[in-house]
Amino acid sequence: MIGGLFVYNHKGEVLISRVYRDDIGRNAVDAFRVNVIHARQQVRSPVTNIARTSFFHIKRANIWMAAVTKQNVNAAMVFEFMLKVIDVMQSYFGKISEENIKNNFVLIYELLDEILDFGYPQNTDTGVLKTFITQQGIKSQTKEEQAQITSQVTGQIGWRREGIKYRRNELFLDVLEYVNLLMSPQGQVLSAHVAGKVVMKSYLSGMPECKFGINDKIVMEAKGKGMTTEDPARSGKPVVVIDDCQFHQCVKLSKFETEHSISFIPPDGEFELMRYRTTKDISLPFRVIPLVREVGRTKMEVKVVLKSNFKQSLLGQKIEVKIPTPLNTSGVQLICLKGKAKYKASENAIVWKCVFACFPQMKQLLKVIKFSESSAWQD
Amino acid sequence: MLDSNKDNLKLEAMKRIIGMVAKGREASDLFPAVVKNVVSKNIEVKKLVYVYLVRYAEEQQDLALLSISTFQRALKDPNQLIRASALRVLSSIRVTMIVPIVMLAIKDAAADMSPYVRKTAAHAIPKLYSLDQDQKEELIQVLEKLLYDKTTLVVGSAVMAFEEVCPERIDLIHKNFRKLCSLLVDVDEWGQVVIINMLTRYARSQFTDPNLQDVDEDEESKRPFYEDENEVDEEQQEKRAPTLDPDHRLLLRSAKPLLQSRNAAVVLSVAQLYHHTAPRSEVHQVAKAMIRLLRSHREVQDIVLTSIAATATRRKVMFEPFLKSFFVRSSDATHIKLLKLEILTSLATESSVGIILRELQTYVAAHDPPFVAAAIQAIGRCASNIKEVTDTCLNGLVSLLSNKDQAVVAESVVVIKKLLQTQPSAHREIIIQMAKLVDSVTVPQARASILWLLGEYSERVPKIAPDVLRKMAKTFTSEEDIVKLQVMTLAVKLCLTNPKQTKLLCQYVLQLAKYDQNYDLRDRARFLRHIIFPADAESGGPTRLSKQAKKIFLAPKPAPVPESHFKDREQFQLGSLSHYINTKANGYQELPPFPLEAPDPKARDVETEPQVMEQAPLFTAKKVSSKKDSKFYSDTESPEDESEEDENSSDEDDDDDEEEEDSSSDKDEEEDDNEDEESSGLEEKLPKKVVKSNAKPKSDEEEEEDESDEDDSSSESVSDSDSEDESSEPSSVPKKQTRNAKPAKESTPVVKPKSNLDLLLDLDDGVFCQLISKVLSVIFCFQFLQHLLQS
Repeated sequence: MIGGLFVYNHKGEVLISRVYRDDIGRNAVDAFRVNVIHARQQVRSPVTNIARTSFFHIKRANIWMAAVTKQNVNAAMVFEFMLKVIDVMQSYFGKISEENIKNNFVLIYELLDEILDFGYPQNTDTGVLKTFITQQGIKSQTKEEQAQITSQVTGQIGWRREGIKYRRNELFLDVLEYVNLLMSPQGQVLSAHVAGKVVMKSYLSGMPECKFGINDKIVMEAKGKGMTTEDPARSGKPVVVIDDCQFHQCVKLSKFETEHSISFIPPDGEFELMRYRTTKDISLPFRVIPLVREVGRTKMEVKVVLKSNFKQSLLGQKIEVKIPTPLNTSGVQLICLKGKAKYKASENAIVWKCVFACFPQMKQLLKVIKFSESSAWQD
Repeated sequence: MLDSNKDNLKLEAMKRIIGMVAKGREASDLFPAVVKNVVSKNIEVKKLVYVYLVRYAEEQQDLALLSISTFQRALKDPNQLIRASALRVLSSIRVTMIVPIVMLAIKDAAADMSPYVRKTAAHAIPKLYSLDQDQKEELIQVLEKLLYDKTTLVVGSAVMAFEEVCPERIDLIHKNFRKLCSLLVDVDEWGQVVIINMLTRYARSQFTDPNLQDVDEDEESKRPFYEDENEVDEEQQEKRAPTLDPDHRLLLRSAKPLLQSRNAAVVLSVAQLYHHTAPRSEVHQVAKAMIRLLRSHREVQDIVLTSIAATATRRKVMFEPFLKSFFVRSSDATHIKLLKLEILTSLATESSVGIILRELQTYVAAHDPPFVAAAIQAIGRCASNIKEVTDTCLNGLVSLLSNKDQAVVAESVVVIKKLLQTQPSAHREIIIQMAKLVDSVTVPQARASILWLLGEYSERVPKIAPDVLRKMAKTFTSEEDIVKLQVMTLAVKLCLTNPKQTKLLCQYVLQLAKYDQNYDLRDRARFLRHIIFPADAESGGPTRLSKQAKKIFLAPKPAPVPESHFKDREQFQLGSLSHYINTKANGYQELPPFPLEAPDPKARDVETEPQVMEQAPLFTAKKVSSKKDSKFYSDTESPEDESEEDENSSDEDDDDDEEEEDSSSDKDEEEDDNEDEESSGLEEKLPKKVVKSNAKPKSDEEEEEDESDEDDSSSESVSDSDSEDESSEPSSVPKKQTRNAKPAKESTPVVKPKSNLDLLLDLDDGVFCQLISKVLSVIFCFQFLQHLLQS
């Protein structure tokens, strides 16, 4: 299990060190700094084993976080836990930065105390933690409130407090989708999938049990009764085939398994209900067609065409195209017919923003860019 | 400030002290002052004092004892939160003197009303155990009690403690096994991980190997003929399946829903459970879930890929449908790219190798040197693993020899060398071409490889080899060590085959090496000299060794077999740290092999369960909810044939799918070629573009309004009837499960997923009667509408 947790800034100074087990010496803190943060060549693997002690590290922004253990642990669990810790910290004081961590020492210590007991991860749900680890030191709580908190920490439904009351019962729902595409240089789609998530914001009173249905239910149902007649085009009904999904812990997994209904008691406030993935028949919203021409040894011309594939009635907003450039790019000339484009040297990319661009179907946008390389190509 | 009367000031002071502790500064001088505050009424102050105490108690044992009485009082506090935290801190204070006190506290807490306190008690057990090993027996007794606990909160922690204190006492688990299985879904995520891990070990020691009948690795070697033998295989399976212990099945079934968990660790541990214990026909179910994890954070990705790589060496078929998920993205980190390559090559089969090779070709043009090198090596591995494509690969590699990039050339030389060794047939041209490269290549590894090749096959290129040696002799002093060694080897080999031309050269080279700075080189030179040019002053004639020299140096060498790095990781449990770093970590427990004969399953029956007894006298063992019970019954009572048939059909599905892929890949190739011709005019050099877009379909919801309005009134009745349907035919439930395991197989047309996502939301209060909930849902819906209109 996790023997200790350290947080460093980018220089390798220790911000937080919390040791849970005595098999981790105090010098472990330095071992990690010397061997990973200050290592000469970049350390690639997120797990480093130094003298039979294993360090799991993740780096977010300028902050290193390392979990140390001498024992055989479930590696995925450690990482998952650290990511959770970061989530929790973010929800407490916003962005993870050196400044923020320094300002919240006490809070972090309290948190670490609560969510990790002798190296065993505990309840890491932010909603619950927030009820009894409060940011503003003293908060005089009445006896009743205290009792409530305890019952929540201990109760079966850890993510929801009892006796929540709202005058207006509201529920907001966002569906976010990411289209992922891998295309060969010949423009042939190698793999594509849509990863989506359903984010909810609930302001409901009492202990409501909600049900959430997507019309893939129809597919599942039909399959169950229609036996093995697997005709792919099921009378052209608009159905969603979801490859696999994962749920917030509030969703009753056993019910999903048997009935394919998503039923849950929502936590209060914002949370991510589910994630899903589909891989079949993805219609891409855009097509990006790049044309690259090398002009001489120090110049390159890139032409990017963006085609929209969606219905005319829809609008594409806040579209951003990133065009990676070689590291040794010295200057860029941009010609852009629509939107704004900018070369960002820090990101090694040209960012082309189409601010509120209305895409009629199949309209082309053209753009010519010229680089001039500072030095000749090495190869 | 600590002595002040005001809580405010105290709190401020404590915060500063903790801040000092956090920075690693010494704050132990303040110990007495801090300890006094442990009696503070203010919870915030108390908490901070606890944090401080845990950190410094060990160093100031005597003073720490002062605080113990406060804890003892706190242990009797009516507030469970305080009781729990007192116990936690008490057990964290590592002072041997208080062991008996802690022991008592744990015993009390284990019988506490509140599950939260019991949970803390479970956590305290390993702490106490590490402090004082003698308490083991007593602790185990407490632990046994805690394991019997039925609350989900406690079970997870109890199992953690079990793993820590007495993992060898499997007999404690017997009676709880079924309960653990049924509770598994509801335990918190960290608990799930631990429990599944423990149950894996349990399953390995208690159930017989489900794959016992077919000789274990046999299937691998049969792979090419797999399709033909499918039917035979299935027959075997049918015979085999009934041997699966019902409890084993229960375990697998109750773990399966967890594949949908949000926590990657849980998913992975289920995957490893299946990998290690499930019958072969069922393992593939986890593949999809693992693929999904590839979308998560970088570090998790890394671990998942490592696991997949290890799995893929043994179970190719499992990941073959997902081949394309392993294609490298230009935005991946290097070590992830390398892992993906590893997986791609181990997944390569005759059918898929085309696609993979084309991908690899693209990778060679990437900008990441280690990655490019790995890609070239991967080509080599594909070539030697799959005989059909060896020639194509070799040609491709040879064409890489004319690449602009020095590193690419070097790497391909090394790979070609290995490939040629496996195929010592006439590849004269390649050798000649490589010999020409000696002048241009500067990477020592590559130079050494070329020289070795020339030496080995010098009889095929009798003219060129001595010439190369001559050149090398000239530059000998400026070469790298590894090249020098090879120059000597080449010289000696040539000297044996073609003494006329090269004897002098050889002597010259050896002479040079004699005075080299590197002692390895000097030693080698001396050794070679004595074999080839024996000091004739003493013996006066060729020694026995020198007679045999030809046999020694020109013996046919076995070709290297490029293997996956992950072959040897089999021995470690999947997903564990040891598996990842490929060495045994402290406290690693090996998975026991399956026993040949299952221990008595009766051990798992629980006798004392009066309530359940009344309901189901036959199956007293299950404290499962009625629904789970019915699942279980239906499967055990109905003959296994049904589920077998399902498996068969799904297997066939698999095959179909593969064939489809084949044909499609062929088409792909054709298309690709066409496109190649078309676009050959343009110099295309862009790496793949990854298009990412996220659309927030808030506007979509407006469309849904109307629907949801109508739906809402009816939704309840609909969902009710649904659930009735399902409950009325419970026997069909398990069947559905197996079928739905492959929803992706049907290629139903998909319009945009989000646009036709229609919501069925109904509020069901559960406690209140339906009427109220109906009214509520109408109100809710109205407000929902309102909000939407506003936004």
